[in-house]
Amino acid sequence: MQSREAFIFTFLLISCFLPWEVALGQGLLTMESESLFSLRNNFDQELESPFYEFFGANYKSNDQTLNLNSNFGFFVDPVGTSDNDFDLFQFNFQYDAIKDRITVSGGRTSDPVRTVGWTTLDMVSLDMHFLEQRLTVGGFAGKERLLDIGNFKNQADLVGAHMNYRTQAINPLHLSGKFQHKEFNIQDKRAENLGSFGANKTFETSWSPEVLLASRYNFSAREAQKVEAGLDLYPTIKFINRWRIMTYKTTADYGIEDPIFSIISRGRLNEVMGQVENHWTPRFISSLTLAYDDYLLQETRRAEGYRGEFSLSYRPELYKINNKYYYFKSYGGYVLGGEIALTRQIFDTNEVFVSEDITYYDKITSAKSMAYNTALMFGHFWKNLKLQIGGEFNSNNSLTYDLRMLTKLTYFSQMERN
Amino acid sequence: MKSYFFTIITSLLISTGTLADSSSMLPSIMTKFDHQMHEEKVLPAFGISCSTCHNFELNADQKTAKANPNLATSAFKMSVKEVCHQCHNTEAPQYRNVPKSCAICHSDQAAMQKIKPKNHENTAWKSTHALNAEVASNTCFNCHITSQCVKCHVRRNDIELKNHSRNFRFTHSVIARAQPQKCDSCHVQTFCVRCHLGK
Ligand code: HEC
Ligand code: HEC
Ligand code: HEC
Ligand code: HEC
Ligand code: HEC
Ligand code: HEC
Ligand code: HEC
Repeated sequence: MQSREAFIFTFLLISCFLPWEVALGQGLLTMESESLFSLRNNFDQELESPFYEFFGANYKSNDQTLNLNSNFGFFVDPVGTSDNDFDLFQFNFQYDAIKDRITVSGGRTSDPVRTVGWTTLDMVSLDMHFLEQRLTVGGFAGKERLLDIGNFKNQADLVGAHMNYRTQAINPLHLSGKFQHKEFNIQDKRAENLGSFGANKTFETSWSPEVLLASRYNFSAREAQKVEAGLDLYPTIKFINRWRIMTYKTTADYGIEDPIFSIISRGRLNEVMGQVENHWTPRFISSLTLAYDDYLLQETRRAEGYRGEFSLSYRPELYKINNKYYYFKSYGGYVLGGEIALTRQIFDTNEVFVSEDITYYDKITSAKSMAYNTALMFGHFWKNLKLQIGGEFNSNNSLTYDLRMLTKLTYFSQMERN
Repeated sequence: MKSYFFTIITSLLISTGTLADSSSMLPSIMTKFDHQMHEEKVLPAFGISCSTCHNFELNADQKTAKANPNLATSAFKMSVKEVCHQCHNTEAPQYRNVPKSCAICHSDQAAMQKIKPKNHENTAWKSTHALNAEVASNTCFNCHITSQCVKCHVRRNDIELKNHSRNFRFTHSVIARAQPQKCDSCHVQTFCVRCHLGK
């Protein structure tokens, strides 16, 4: 879309949302806009000035019968290339045709609620609620949109059904089941039938264990695409121990929207992850995550992957400090790095943000090297606005001296109608 | 209209000031509480009397009230949180028609921060929320709106990175080969082809 059209569209959308405030009943209208601008050199040392605008608006009526949602963004580069881009991420409504009984929704949605996994699609759907709304059964039909493919071009039609159930308890058992049929608009691509089942329950015994299970089955390929089980343990209120095991496999069907997994792996992957998190004080938390992966690389060769992460988050009065150390290892090499980010509030209306990320890597394709990233931002708040101005300095294999100027303007407001 | 109660009873409520300390969310929540609406529409429907929440009881004449001994220190029998949550944050079936979205009361950002679930703390949540969301994504939207998720899941911009770090560009080959399944939630092949032309 041209930027002029984008502008007109933006104008129309905003004017759609303003009357809500006036015309709709009691509810909460949330609006957020983020404008980002940067001045920098690209890897060919040419000046670029990308500008992004993201806008989102959401209206939820207090009685939960109406929910309107919109989200879009556009991109222009006035100085550099004449590139521009407009993306509509979401534009949908959800309405209780019969309160607490039947919900209809439609429009462009992007969420994991009805589909198996996260999906963006243009759809219509109908949900029915039973048992004091603890059971929801619904169906949808729509066209899948993939942002990465020629800007939300349609590749496939989707129809599906889903159900959600929860028992009547403080810590209920959640069950979810989904089925979807995908018909590609591309010649020679086979239709795909996917089903999923999930469950989750916290037990009120010592250590308050929470058990999670998510699984996906590909009926067309007759294989379990994913089975993931999780166990979260809380031995004390300050200590959390999480375990995840999973098996995963997607198959390439030689289309341009093939899953990344199928490009890298030829077969099944198994993963185990463990994590401990300790709340030393409510303001000082540390966590350690370790993961091990193993998958089929070629017909007979398997590859291994390791991930380790140690992170600290510290929140003394007026400060927000995050510190993280990470390690990855695969047959592609290894990566070792550390990152620290600090935000300090100054008086009530200003903040300063500094961050440093240093990464050391050793890859099979290139020699050992380092990448540095330093950012410094000043922020000032007004009632609904926040302006951040600053810069970023990078030094890496592509550019040894890369200085970027950044500005960000955020608008956030929540308006109540009572 | 039972507003004449207010004149009578306000004189009994010596200090409601003990309710709120400076860091509390209460002031902002209380501005949303419509006593009269609850009194007219809600309390009779549920058969709830003034004394369920308050430290006083109405006398039989329904016009005068009898104070409990501790009314001087608090107008309430229980914490205000419990007062509101007994209907607005419960699984109890008799309250199924009560609005339950946490955002009605904990609406502004500061108030929402305070009720952030425990599993959200620290950076670890970024790598573990996927499973919770797959099983019970509807529970997330009691507090969230999808545009918060879209920032990482769908949106793309290279000025302020939301999901990766600046240095990630130089190391993604190693990471993609360590955990190749992790990229599927957000990218398909065309995205990579953009930079990897020859593939
Ligand atoms: C800070 C970035 C970030 C935000 C914000 C975010 N996510 Fe995620 N999400 C991720 C990452 C990274 C993954 C992949 C992680 C993994 O698989 O371990 C993921 C995976 C998921 C998945 C699995 C999807 C699939 O197809 O396998 C779901 C579902 C999900 N997120 C839901 C949500 C919801 C709901 C929200 C908003 C309430 C949200 N996410 C917000 C980063 C984010
Ligand atoms: C659901 C709990 C609840 C019930 C039941 C309830 N109230 Fe209240 N009442 C409150 C809350 C919360 C406040 C504090 C409101 C505020 O600070 O704005 C309050 C405040 C008051 C006040 C003080 C108002 C002021 O401006 O200081 C009076 C008088 C009062 N209530 C009378 C009554 C009477 C009479 C009844 C019975 C008909 C009743 N309340 C039933 C929750 C309740
Ligand atoms: C006895 C159960 C009950 C209690 C206790 C209760 N509420 Fe409510 N509340 C309701 C019901 C029912 C409604 C929906 C009324 C309607 O829209 O018809 C409601 C609606 C509301 C609304 C939305 C009002 C609107 O404009 O639609 C707010 C805000 C609210 N309550 C705040 C509070 C606060 C704050 C407290 C604690 C001080 C509280 N409520 C205690 C039952 C309760
Ligand atoms: C009808 C209004 C209302 C609704 C709806 C509501 N709450 Fe609350 N909540 C309160 C009040 C009032 C407090 C007490 C605030 C205070 O004391 O500062 C509170 C306090 C809390 C606290 C304690 C925070 C602290 O700092 O101690 C948590 C946690 C919480 N609520 C979670 C939730 C969740 C989760 C939901 C949605 C399922 C929810 N609430 C819905 C009114 C509400
Ligand atoms: C009781 C309210 C509540 C519930 C329920 C809730 N969240 Fe959140 N969540 C929050 C708050 C508050 C934040 C902090 C938002 C901020 O800082 O702007 C947050 C932040 C997040 C983030 C962003 C973390 C980051 O690094 O930016 C993710 C991802 C997320 N939530 C996912 C989920 C998912 C998935 C679920 C459902 C399984 C869920 N949340 C349920 C309140 C909630
Ligand atoms: C939660 C969704 C999510 C997941 C999972 C994810 N990405 Fe991304 N990816 C993004 C977003 C959003 C951007 C745009 C930059 C940003 O905001 O971080 C991006 C950008 C990129 C970029 C361009 C970075 C740059 O410097 O311009 C590469 C390369 C990339 N992703 C590779 C990967 C690989 C490899 C994986 C799997 C290990 C992966 N991504 C997993 C969301 C995701
Ligand atoms: C923003 C541009 C960009 C995007 C988008 C991108 N890459 Fe890369 N990729 C690079 C660059 C630059 C290198 C070379 C880096 C180096 O090794 O120095 C590279 C190298 C790689 C390598 C190693 C190549 C080799 O021959 O060993 C792999 C594997 C890889 N990328 C996978 C991916 C995957 C999977 C995605 C999509 C999720 C992706 N890339 C998206 C820029 C990108």
